[in-house]
Amino acid sequence: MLKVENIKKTYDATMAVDQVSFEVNEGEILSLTGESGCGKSTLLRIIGGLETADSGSIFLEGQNISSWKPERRKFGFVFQNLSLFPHLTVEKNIYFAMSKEQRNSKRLSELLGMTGMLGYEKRYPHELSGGQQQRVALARALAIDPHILILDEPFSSLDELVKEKIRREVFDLLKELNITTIMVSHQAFDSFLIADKLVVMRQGKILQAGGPIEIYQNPTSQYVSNFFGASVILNGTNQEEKAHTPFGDIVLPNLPDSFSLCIRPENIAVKNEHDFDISGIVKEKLFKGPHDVLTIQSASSDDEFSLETERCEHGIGDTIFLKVPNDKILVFK
Amino acid sequence: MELRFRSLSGWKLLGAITVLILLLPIIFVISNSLSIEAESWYQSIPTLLPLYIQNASILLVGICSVALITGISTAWLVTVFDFPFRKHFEWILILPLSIPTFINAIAYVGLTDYAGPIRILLRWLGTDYYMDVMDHEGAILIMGLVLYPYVYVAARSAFLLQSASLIDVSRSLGQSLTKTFFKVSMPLSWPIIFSGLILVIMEVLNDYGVVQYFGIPTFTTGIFRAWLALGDLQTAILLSLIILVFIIILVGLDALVQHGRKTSNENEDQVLARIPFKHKWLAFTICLIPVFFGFIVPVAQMVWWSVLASTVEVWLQSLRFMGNTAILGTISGLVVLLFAIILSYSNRLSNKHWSSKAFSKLSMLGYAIPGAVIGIGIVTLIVWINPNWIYSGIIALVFGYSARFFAVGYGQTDAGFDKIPLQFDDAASSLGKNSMKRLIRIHLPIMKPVLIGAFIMVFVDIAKELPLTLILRPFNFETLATNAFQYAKDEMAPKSASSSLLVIFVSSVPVYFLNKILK
Repeated sequence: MLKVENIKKTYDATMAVDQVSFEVNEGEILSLTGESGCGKSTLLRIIGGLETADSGSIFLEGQNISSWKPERRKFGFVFQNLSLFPHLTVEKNIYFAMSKEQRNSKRLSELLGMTGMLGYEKRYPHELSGGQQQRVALARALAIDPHILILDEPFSSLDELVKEKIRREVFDLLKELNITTIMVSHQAFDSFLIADKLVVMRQGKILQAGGPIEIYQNPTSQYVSNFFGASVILNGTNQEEKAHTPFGDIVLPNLPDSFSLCIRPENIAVKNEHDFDISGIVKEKLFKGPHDVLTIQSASSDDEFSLETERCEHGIGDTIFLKVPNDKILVFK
Repeated sequence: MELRFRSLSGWKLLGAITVLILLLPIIFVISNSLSIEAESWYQSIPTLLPLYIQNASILLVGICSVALITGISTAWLVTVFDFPFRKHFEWILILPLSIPTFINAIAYVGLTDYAGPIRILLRWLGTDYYMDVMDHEGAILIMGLVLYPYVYVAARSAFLLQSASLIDVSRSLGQSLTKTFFKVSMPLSWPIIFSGLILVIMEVLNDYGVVQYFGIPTFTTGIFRAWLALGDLQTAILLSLIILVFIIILVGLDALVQHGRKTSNENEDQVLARIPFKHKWLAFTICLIPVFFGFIVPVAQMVWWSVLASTVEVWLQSLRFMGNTAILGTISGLVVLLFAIILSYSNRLSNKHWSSKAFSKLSMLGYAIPGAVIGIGIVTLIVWINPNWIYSGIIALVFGYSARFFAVGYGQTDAGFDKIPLQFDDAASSLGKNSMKRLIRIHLPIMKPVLIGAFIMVFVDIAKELPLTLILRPFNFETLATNAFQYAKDEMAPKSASSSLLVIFVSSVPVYFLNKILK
């Protein structure tokens, strides 16, 4: 459906987007994600035609559209600040995107019905809540029958309480309409919940692309691993085919000389002194609702890591024994 | 909280007195107009009024059109597009504002008359063509060329203030840039642009130099004729009252427009990605035209004249007049600052209660009132105190300048106070400092740059001022502006060049400040 090929963009001397390529298939939701300033928003603007790339091409269904103006591309945008026209009512905001014939049809009520905004036609944007504005912005973007929908940090302006609900609704609607969507989000979990495919960017480059589960379970770098949730990181060296860490030795195949072990907390189980891989002393214990957050220090050095576990009996100064399945450990050089 | 308000009543009284003093000239015009005998009305209305109204209307409509077209188009170009020297044009486009309207008129008359460079060139080419700029069309173009920056500055800040994504979203919804301009940017910017336009209207109503020089009778020339030539204070007051009513309607209209203003909810998002203009040298030319005719040409003409006619004596004389201008500007600037500090601080202590806010708004009315009207107000005031006093003098001038330009200093001072958190006052109060000590030891030191900026702006306005100075100056006392005007009126325009250039030089200073404010 949409193919992005070797896009490059520099501002003054900074490389904003560096040789980026990827594809989105029809009906797919793709999320560009990464920290602020990683180049994802610039890339999105280039795709939408609001910014020109230094080099590279964009293809829509095989046709090179790189030189097309934004008004010709028919990519529906929803911006972070929603950008509803403040001087127009809900109805006129949506009419703005329509041709004369469409205005006379039932398209408006269809769109408002879809987004649950029927009855708000005559309201001005400032008379709507954040969630309602979000819905109108979406309805307006859909009004041009977009080839592709582009969402730039679509949920970040919403309160935590409504965010969840709106995210669900948007997801259901996009899937129902089978609309190809590219969204940008700096929040990993937004991407997990809504996207079919993730593209993780850093310093203008793509670090990894793939499905949410794949990226979560098999990150190819420590950066990606950390970006999608807290991990326990243990630095180690290869000693006789064992990973030697300050917290104990773990048997692992094919180890390099020195490395970091990266383990998702949910893969670490608290065990007893007869059955464990690593151990340490509880230095600090914080109460966090259903969980405890433990700071565990090595018995032999100053190294420590923090681990979120279910409620446990251990007190400060106690030794704790932990077990980690070998196949859940990621090794990064 | 309690602590902050303890000394309120004293400051409130001071603030009230300040406003009252500044409003005295206007109060005197209004109160005296009530006592005008019906005969005066009948005398002046049928003979003078239709002509004044007709001329003022032609000038207003023409100049506003020139200012709107030039100001908005250039502002749109430098904000939305990218083309050669765009960044420089951002401030260069404000430069014509530093040329007082009457100096621009002097320059163009000189440029097109028999001995001017255009005619010399034509004759050299073997032909000649009679040119006359001293009519309505000439006045419109000459004034429009130096007043459009008011609209430009307003339009540019309005376009910048709009969330950049509004333009992006409109284009993504299939609207071209031109349609986006008319359907999104203009409706949203109109209230701010209107405020800029009102400044243009006020400048036109205030103008005396151009209309007098060109022989176009309007209200200001009427006031001058009535008072300075005929000694007819009643007609002068009557004409002043008519302008006053018009100005009050205008200010009310502006309040109405601003009330209905809708802003985009967030402005903090990304800076607009400027679109490369297809015919980039066309955009460059469009921006260059107003600067060329509104700044480069008149300055070049003045420089040419000063080379031709300015002897050492003329320059020495101009420098002496610059001294006069500087003394007036400094004293009046300091008075304005003092008043502005008193009023802003008393407002701050009253926690910006709506009544004190409205009251202080009144004090800014002077800026909207033509200098000639304020001059007449002060004359009536002096005549009322003692009919035997000489109404013209340095004190009268300083009073006139303060009443007229108070708003310039007050606006900045008040904004400066606003930026200081109220917690500073509370902290200082809790440390046992009374309101006076807080002002001297906390607010004024923090606001030093703001106060200097405000002083410079007032100083510059005074340097450019003509009608008020002409009415209230002591006998044989010249400022740079009156000197330049006098020479031009006496058909010795080349000799006005040194004074004109000095005024232009001084007036260029706020362009720097304006541009900084815009950023």
